[in-house]
Order: sequence, then structure tokens, then C-alpha cells
Amino acid sequence: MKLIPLKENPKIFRDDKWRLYTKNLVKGQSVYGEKLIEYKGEEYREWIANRSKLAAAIKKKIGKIPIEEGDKVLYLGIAAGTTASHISDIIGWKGLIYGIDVAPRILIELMKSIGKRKNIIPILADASKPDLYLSIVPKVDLVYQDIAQPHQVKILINNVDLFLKNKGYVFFAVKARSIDVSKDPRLIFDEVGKELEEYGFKIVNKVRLEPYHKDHMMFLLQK
Amino acid sequence: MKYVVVRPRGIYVFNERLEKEDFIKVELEESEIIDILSGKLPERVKKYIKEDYVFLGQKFEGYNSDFDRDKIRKALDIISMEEEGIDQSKFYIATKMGIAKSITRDQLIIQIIMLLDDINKITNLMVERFREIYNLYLPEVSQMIEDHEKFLKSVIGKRREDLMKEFKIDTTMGGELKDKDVEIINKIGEKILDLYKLRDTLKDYVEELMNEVCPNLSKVATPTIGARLIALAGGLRELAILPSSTIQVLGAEKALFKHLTKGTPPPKHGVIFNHPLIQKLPRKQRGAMARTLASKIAIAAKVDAFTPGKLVYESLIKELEERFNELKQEKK
Repeated sequence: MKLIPLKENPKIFRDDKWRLYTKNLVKGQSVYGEKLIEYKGEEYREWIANRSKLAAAIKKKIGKIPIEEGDKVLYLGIAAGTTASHISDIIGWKGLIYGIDVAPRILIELMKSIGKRKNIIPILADASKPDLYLSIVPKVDLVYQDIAQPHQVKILINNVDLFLKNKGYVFFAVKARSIDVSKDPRLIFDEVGKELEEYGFKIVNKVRLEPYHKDHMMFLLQK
Repeated sequence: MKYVVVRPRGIYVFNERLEKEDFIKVELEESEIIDILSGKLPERVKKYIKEDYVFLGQKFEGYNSDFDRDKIRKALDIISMEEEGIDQSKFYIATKMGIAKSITRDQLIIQIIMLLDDINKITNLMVERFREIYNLYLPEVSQMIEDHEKFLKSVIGKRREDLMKEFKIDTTMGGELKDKDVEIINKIGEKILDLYKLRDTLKDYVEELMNEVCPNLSKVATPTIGARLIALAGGLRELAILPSSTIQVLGAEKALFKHLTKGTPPPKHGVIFNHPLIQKLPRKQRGAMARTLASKIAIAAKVDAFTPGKLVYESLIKELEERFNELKQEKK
């Protein structure tokens, strides 16, 4: 097997079957049961598209993947840290993820995996109340949001407005079913797109995440 | 007037033109980080805050705040450029402490009521298997006693000859088993009976917990239904902020979503269906009763969540019974 860096982001690798990998920042540690493999003396973790919406978006050719070594990232809805752990691999020890989540139960899972991943700062807080973590989070290069809430667009805009640098990027995972179960997902995604443009976002790209995640769309935005 | 922002390493002070004037070093401790995240200003910070200081984007009781987005952004720009690295381990511990603090007794209720459901499923499965096994030995008794628990209690530890006399069975279809076989069969039955005992203990325990944590909800909804509602909502507070129309159909999500997406008739009730005041009414009137019941449950939950210790269930139950009698009259 051979690992090839992606041309969109050389910190992300793929094998000949298009499985994705990142170089493991914490050697020997598997975060969510993903496979660890050795390649040319380095350890890599498989990035499973069924588990991570970002991995699914990359597989569905979202195109640009603007995550760089040393980046500061605001992660809204970090949950158990599946996706965050791969972003943590990419940004390395000089980068920092501020991981916000409101649910203590799921953060218990996160804490297990980030004891050694010192570039993830866990924050137990409600993403719809950014004033409460204004004392901790600085300006960031990237906002990643995956929150299954009806008012997820408003939450994103409130946070981006305060914390994202100008020209900074946003990965925004939208779950149609948590906005309105009875509507056609396509209509919901169109409405979300309009709302985002109204705020002033540039929609760089958007991809549906089927078959990995049902009724989901990943938006890549630029402020 | 000066603007201030509290950060993990200290307090940034800005003048009115948002130029940085001062940085007062106060390294926040883990418990102080939790304070700030819940909107409380730590004592050690308080003493540096003068009367004409205005917090930028942060709200603390008894202090002035300014939420002008442009100003906040400007201050954050300066802070982000100057701020030194952050100590992850401190936040790691703070979050652990925050998680510990968030554990409330209603979460215990949720887990126990769910465990009760699990035990019911498990014992049903096990009893069915036990009956199959027992059929190899003495099928007639199994056929006579439908109630699982009663069946177990009647057969365990008893010899076949005695049972045949007791139940007046002349010939059995059961096979010849060895003493060792019978011993094991009895052991299995005893374990299942233990699970029934555990179930009863947990039922009493849920009732106790419910009366301690939310006496009003417990009395109005019955302890078991109240506990199920808390479980479905995800907590007592969560239940308390639900509208009564949602409470009415909690537990009937499948029917509700089918209604929303396919236009089938809406469900009349979810788990409150099992409430005695609904059960005792004819079908036609259950919808109306469910509506009233849900509204009283909503009130009870709100009282329990936001004014713990206050008891209002007597008047709520009285109103429920009045409505119940009204509906009963209507029938005639």
C-alpha cells in the first residue's frame, strides 16, 4: 500500500482505495476505533467517512480544504472529537482547537481521547451564547460547526461575527432534518444557502454527504 | 470610562478609543474558569474592576456591559495578537469539573427508568426461554399459569411428583431428566426471579427519587410516567421548558413524524396514555383528557424545576379530576 498526499491539502493522505488518513499526532492512540497503520516509519490514522462529516465532504470533492499547520480553530459541537482529532493531526502542536459543546455526557467521551492531545481545549458551553466563552476563545483562522439545532445558521453567524478572522474559512455541516423534518432537504439547503449569502458569506463550495451521512450538506464558506 | 475583557491570563483594559491601556495579570484557576463560563465574576478579578469599567461582550451580574459587535471585535483583535499560549491542562481539568457539576439527580432517574425497561425486556426473553426448557420436564404447568412471575414461583424448587399432585396432572408429556438437569433448571429460574425482585426494588426506588426530586410531577403524572417523560425530554429542566402540546405526544414520536411528513392524523397521546385518568375514559374522550393532563404536567414540571420545594399538586389533581368527571358526564 502507498499513501499519497492530497493535492488540496498535503497533510491529508489517501491510499489506492481512496481511504483517507492523517498522520497521528499521538502515537499509538486510536480515538474512535479507527485503524492505525505504519507507512515509511510514520503512524497514520484512518479517517472514516461514515463517522466524520468532514472526511465525507473531502471524499465528495469539496475541493478546497483550508486547514493548515498552526491554525487556530473554533469547533462548535465538538462532541466525542472524531472529526476534531483529525483536524488536530493536521494543525499539529502549534495549532489549537477550541472545542465547544453543551452536552456533558458526550464530552465525557471527548475527555478520554484528548488527555494527550494538548492542542484541543475543551469548553463546556452553549454555542448559542458566545458571550460566555468570549473570555477564552480568541480570533481564529477556521470555524467548524456541526450542531443539530433548528437555529444552526444563527448560531454560526453569531460566532463567526465575533471570532473568525477576515477572509477566514468555515466548514458548516447542515442536517436538514434538525431544521425541519417535514420539508424536502433540497429546499432547506437552498434556504440555508440564501441566509448565508445574506450575511455576506462567500459560498466556496457545497456538497451533499450521501451516502455517508443522510440528508446532510457540507458548506465551505469564506467570510 | 474604560472597557475591560477578562481572559484566562488576566484582565485587558482599553480606553474609549479601544486602545490597550493596561493588562492586569490574574492567572485564572480551574474553578474560576467554570465561574466565568457560567457568568460569574471570580472574586480575585472583582477587586480590579473599578466603577467606571464596562465589560466588552461579557455579562456579569452587577456590572455594566457593552455588546457592540465592532468594539468587541476590535478588542479581540488586539487580545489575539498579544495573548500568550494557553494552558490546555487547566481547561482539561476545568471541563472535567464542569461535567461533574452538571450531574443532577434527574439523570439518575433517567438511567433507572431506562434500566427498568431493559430489565422488563430481558426478563421476558429469559422467561420465554425458561418455559421452553421447562416444557421438556413438565409442560402442563407452564400451560396452566400464564403469569410469568407466578409460574416461576410455583415451580422452582419443587419436585415433579409433587407438582403433578398439586396441579392434578395424571400423565405428563415431559421427558425423563437427570437430577443434575433439574438442578440447573431451578438455578436458571431462581436467577430470573432475582431479576423480578430487582425490578420491584427499582420501581420503589424510582418512586422515591421522583418524590424527592419532583414531587409535583410525580403526583400529577404518576412516578413512572413522570420518570419516562423526564427521560424522553432529557432532564427535568428540559421537560419544564417544553410546551404542553409537546408533552402530550412525548413517546409518540413515530406517529408525530408520520403526521408531519405524510399527513396522517396526529397522535393524541404519548407515554401519558398509561395514566389512569386517561385509561378510565372511553376512546373518544381520551384526546381531550390528554390535553388537560399534559397542561397540568407542564405546570407541575415547571414548579419542580424552577421553585423546588413548592407543592402545588393538590390543586392540579383537583382540576384534573373535575375535567375527568366532566368528560365522563358528557358520555351519557
